[in-house]
Amino acid sequence: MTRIALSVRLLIAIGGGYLLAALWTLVFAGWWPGARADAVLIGTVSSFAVAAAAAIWAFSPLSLRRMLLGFAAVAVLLLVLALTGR
Amino acid sequence: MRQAMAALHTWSGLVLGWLLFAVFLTGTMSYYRSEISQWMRPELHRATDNATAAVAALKHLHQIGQGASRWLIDLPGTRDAATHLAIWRDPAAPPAELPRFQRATLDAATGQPSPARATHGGDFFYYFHFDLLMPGASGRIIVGIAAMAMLVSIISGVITHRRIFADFFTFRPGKGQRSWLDAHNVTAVLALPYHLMITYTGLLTLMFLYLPFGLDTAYGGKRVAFQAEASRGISPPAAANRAADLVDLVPLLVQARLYWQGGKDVGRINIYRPNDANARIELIAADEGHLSHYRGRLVFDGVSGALLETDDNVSWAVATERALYGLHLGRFGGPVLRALFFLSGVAGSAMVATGLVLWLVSRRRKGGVHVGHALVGRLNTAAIAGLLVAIAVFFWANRLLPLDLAARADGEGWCFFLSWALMLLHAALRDEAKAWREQFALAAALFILLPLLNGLTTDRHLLVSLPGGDWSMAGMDFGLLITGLVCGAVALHLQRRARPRP
Repeated sequence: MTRIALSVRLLIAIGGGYLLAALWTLVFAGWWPGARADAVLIGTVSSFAVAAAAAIWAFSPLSLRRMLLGFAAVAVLLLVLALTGR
Repeated sequence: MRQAMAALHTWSGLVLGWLLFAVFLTGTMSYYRSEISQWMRPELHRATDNATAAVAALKHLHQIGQGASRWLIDLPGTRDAATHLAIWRDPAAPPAELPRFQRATLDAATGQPSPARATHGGDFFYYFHFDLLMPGASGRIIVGIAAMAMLVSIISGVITHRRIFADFFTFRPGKGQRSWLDAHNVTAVLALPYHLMITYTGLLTLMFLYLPFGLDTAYGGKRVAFQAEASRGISPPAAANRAADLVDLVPLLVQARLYWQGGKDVGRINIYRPNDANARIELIAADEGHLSHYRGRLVFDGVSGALLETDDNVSWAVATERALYGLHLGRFGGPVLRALFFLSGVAGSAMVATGLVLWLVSRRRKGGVHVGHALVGRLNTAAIAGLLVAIAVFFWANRLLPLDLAARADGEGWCFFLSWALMLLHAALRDEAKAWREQFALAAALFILLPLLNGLTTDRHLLVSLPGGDWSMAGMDFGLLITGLVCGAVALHLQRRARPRP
């Protein structure tokens, strides 16, 4: 792994993971059909698994390009959902 | 896949491993927080019943808690002999010279300030394990980052060692790197579900510090509304500014027991706006005997005594989150389950420690002397063996510091940190193998002598506690002794290995 590739993967694992987890909590806050307290709890409790999954994804054996594409796709999807919730 | 995961596992583990070891070990000790507190306050004896303790505590609060917006009483339980109080005052409210927040420890039976020596007791390690005793939220954020790295380390570790369950039955001692790897795998797999659970639920205890976005979006920043809707507490009432006498506590305690049909007992009492017409009394069940933390709450009108609110009908999401929180604290279990949790925590600490050593052993084997290796080796020594010495010194300080010393409780903490710093200095100056051996030997001597020191300085040593059935005191003495013997065994093993083979 080159130095640049490693830096990119670390950035996605740490910063990207945090970003996805944050968006995840917003998606639940915006879209959960039940009580808002439940939306907050379910979204936040599960968000740490999202952050961990992102870190694993960042170090998957996929090429850097495909790894970044996959990350971007999920990030954009979550961002759109987060912006369109109630 | 495995190679990339191995890189992730190695680096996320090493960077925060020293911190994780300290967090894991002090967190594991916190399963016996109450017992440690009792051992460190040998002047306090048997607890009294709930009602007597509550009435005595309330009498004391009426004396010292004037002008408060909230009183808190933590009643003595089966594991803690003292009553703990806290008092909050509105920052704007007069008189200005009274502190905004104040705590006190009482002798449960008399309700008078505890005659025990000033000490932080088990709270020292409890707070250290999630905020490192650092100001503000900085320590909690650092520990959160470390916990997240731990979670990723565990998952990537499982992927790396795909033969992990087969490896569990493989232990090859005396084979250098291979033995360290086996030891790392055994301690990791032995309690793998525990490690995953404790790391994840640990993150959840501070989740709104780390990820407040969902909460603040849904509630527009009004966190008090969330507290009430998720049944995590009451919306604190505003003061009516009309004086009114508090209702008698004892019938409320009886009512709570009846309400819970004897399944739970009151562990905590919150009194909001005491002696005001808007007073509210909140009774919260002790954590013993049921999984969920902070479940079983009854709210009463503080003047009429009418039952206003219960938390019987919470949603599954609330119930799940409270259960996950309770799982982290592990206060629900009896002595056997608590011991199993403790041993799993010890395995977790050993997993981190062996992982740190393994990092170094495998790099040194690949050849070359590297200045970074020497640094890691020294930090390993101080972070693992040095911490054990510092913990033992903390207990010694509790028995030896003069009772009338100013800021005595903090003094014990200073002894802990100073001895830890000394161990780092020792590791930096000494040959690495010798430093490991000497620090483990020192820790062994300090721990083994603690029951003896207890006998010389108090009247609650093993010859008294064992015949008297004082299990928490005797258990602590035995626990310290066993810790010392384990440290001694490690020191002896290192000594034997250092000797040239015939």
